[in-house]
Amino acid sequence: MTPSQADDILLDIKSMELRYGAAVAVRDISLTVRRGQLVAVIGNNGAGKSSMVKGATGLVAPSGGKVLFRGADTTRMGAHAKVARGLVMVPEGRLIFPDQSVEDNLILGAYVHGGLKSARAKATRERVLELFPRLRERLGQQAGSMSGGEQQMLAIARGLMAEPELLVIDELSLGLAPKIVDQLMGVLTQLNKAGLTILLVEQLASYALAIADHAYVIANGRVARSGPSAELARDPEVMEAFLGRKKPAA
Amino acid sequence: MKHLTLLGFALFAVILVAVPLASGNEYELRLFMLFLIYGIIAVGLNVLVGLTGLVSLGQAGLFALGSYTGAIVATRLGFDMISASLVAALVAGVFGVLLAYPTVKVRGVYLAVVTIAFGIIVENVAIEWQSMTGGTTGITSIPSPNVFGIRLTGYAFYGVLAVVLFLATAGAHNLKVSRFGRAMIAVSESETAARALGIDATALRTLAFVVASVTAGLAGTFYAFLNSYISPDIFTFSDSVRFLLMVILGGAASTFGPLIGAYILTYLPEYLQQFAVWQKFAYGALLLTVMFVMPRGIMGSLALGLKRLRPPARAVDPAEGLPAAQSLAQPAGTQRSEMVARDLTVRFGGLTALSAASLRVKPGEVHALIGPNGAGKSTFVNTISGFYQPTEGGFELDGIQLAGRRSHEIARVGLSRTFQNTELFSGMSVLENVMVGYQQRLTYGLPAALLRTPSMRRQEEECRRAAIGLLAFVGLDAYANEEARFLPFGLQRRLEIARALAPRPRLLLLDEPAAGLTTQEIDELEAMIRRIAGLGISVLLIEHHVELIMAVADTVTVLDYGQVIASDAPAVVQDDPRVIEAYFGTSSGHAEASA
Repeated sequence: MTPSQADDILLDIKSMELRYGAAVAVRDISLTVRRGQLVAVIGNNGAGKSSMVKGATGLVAPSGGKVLFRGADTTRMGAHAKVARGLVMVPEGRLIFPDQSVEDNLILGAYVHGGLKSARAKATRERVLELFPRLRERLGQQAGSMSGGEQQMLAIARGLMAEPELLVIDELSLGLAPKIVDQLMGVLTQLNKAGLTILLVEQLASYALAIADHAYVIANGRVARSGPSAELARDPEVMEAFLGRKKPAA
Repeated sequence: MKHLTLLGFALFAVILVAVPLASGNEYELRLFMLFLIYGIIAVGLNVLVGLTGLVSLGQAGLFALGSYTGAIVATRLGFDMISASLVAALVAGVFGVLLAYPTVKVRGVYLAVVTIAFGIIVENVAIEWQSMTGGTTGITSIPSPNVFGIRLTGYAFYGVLAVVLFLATAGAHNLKVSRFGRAMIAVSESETAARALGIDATALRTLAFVVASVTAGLAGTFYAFLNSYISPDIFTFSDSVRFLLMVILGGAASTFGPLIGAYILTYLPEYLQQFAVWQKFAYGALLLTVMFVMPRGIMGSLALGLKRLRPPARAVDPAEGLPAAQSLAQPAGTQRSEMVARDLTVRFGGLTALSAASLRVKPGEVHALIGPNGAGKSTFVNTISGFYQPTEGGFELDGIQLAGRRSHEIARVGLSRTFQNTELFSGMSVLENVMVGYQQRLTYGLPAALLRTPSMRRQEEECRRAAIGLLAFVGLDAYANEEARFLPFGLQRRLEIARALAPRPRLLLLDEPAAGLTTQEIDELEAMIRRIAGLGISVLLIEHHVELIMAVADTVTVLDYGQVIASDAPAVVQDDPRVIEAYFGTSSGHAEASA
């Protein structure tokens, strides 16, 4: 690896282990995300994907290994400090603030930059609303009264308000109609082309592999497979386990 | 754990017998009797705080109410101690109902505020109603403790107190491990889920408050007899705080925690008197230290430590379980169930979420409800399960009209549901979650629960076996003793299905069961839904996974903008141009499979 390539690494998880009391959720996961990539993580329920994300974003402290972000060791850093450094998460189940307006949710997204005071934050808000015109129509509406798809849009928009270097999305498709999933996957591709680095944890492997450059398959708290997504999508075991297709007869 | 509890009760009995024999003088025994009285209050308050998670800061008011009632009927009407304490318990209980019923519906700090206000009022009435209470001088001529006209010696009075506290502790413990205690904990963990399982949350919270009131009233009378003098300044707000602290310091929800808390907070002030002016400071500092070191209270933290040291087996033996086919078998002669919704309209202010939607789930079929996000599916589900009220229209299950009924009533008629964003009782074990679901099928009453009668134990054992069987049915028997919140998301959904099946529903409503599952797991879910339908339970499935719907549904109804735009066999609906336009978008269901 040349030095310039090493500089390119945005998130570097080294042999992470994460426990809840006696239960081990993540045994040994190493994963790298380079600047400009869209990396997908797939795997069964209980494989350790969400725990890995929580460990990486600082919501739960890993019990072993290291999490480097932009070259610095952030293993023990809390989530709020990581957000300020540009590691921002869109949580599983969206977790928007349901009783607040859409606008207030966006302002809270920009909390680490002092809300909407700066001209830069206002410009970000404009860009985000251009990306999601539906949200502009509903700025004053109570966020919890919107449909599931609109709430997921808001969760992404709120994440973008923090001006992330790396956006981590846990379960984009959860509870969404096929049409909305298509649309949101399109938005991610668009954001990625515009330069945003994205780590996408997703159960619908077919969608995730279709838009990602690189992918990891997690099983039993370890990395079971990794490689360019196009290659993984052709891997017979991945196909059988996650794409709903039987192994080609030998 | 069971053996430890028995050992604890044996030890407690030994202490109660040994103390009077060992105490050197009357002062020592009196102080211990004061602890017994405080113990009765703490044990009762623990039912409210530990099980339902509600907070009362007015126990001193109820304690005073019991004290004055007992003293007044004893001095004026000549009641003996036992009948006076029963009258006091009754009066406190009535006030408990009056206070609790309107307030426990609004949760959180409101009950605490109401109880504070009640405490202030009682104190004030005691001062101002001079003809009855003696005003600030109080009631002085309380007779010495007597039963049926026989005067009790100091030791006999001690015996009465010891027996009452022992029985109260045993009763509270029995309540905790009965269907009532389980339901109280469930209500505090998730009221929504508890209601959907047929549990009347308001009634249970009121019951818990009444238990706390009755014990405080009882203790009040004993206090009046012990002191032979009462006045308003004995029952202040800081005493209410002290009673609450006894529970929290000792360990809320634990069997012996409140006793330990009551013991410490009775004796500590006495020992700290040697610090003179620093007494209050030392008191506060000690409390702070204990709560820092043991945030769950003494017994709570000890139990946690023990669990870490010797973790319980995660799995249960599936052989212990009652096969699901057996526990879910409908009584002979019952028909498969039919659910009909007619012209359901739901408006929120100016927004029409559901507009004259009609749907019929035929007996024994798997009926899928699909539609774009925002089409009104969630509104439909929440309406037929009683969480929203329809503006117009009605719905019925096997001819029983359900519109206008509350959620727990609808659940009791036979509609069971899961939740889109999972609503588990997260602090309870996986097995206990399913046992709460079985609640409606347990018939034993409160007296049986308190006494642990053989019939109660038999029903509990059946409940446990049925729950194990259901866990095996959904493939979770290996996780039975794990706390529900530690389950991965996909397994939480399976647990919700097992819990929803436990009441033996006629109609099972699955709200996006496949969300967050991988293809392989969806295949397992598909098989599970087929098995459920095979047991004769009608299923209404709200889902986005087109492949799953096509595979299991007999009929598919499509909602868009609150209206039914199609309802037919899956193959027909899939090719309906309106459905493709509204739902599948450009990459229709066919495309998803091959993407």
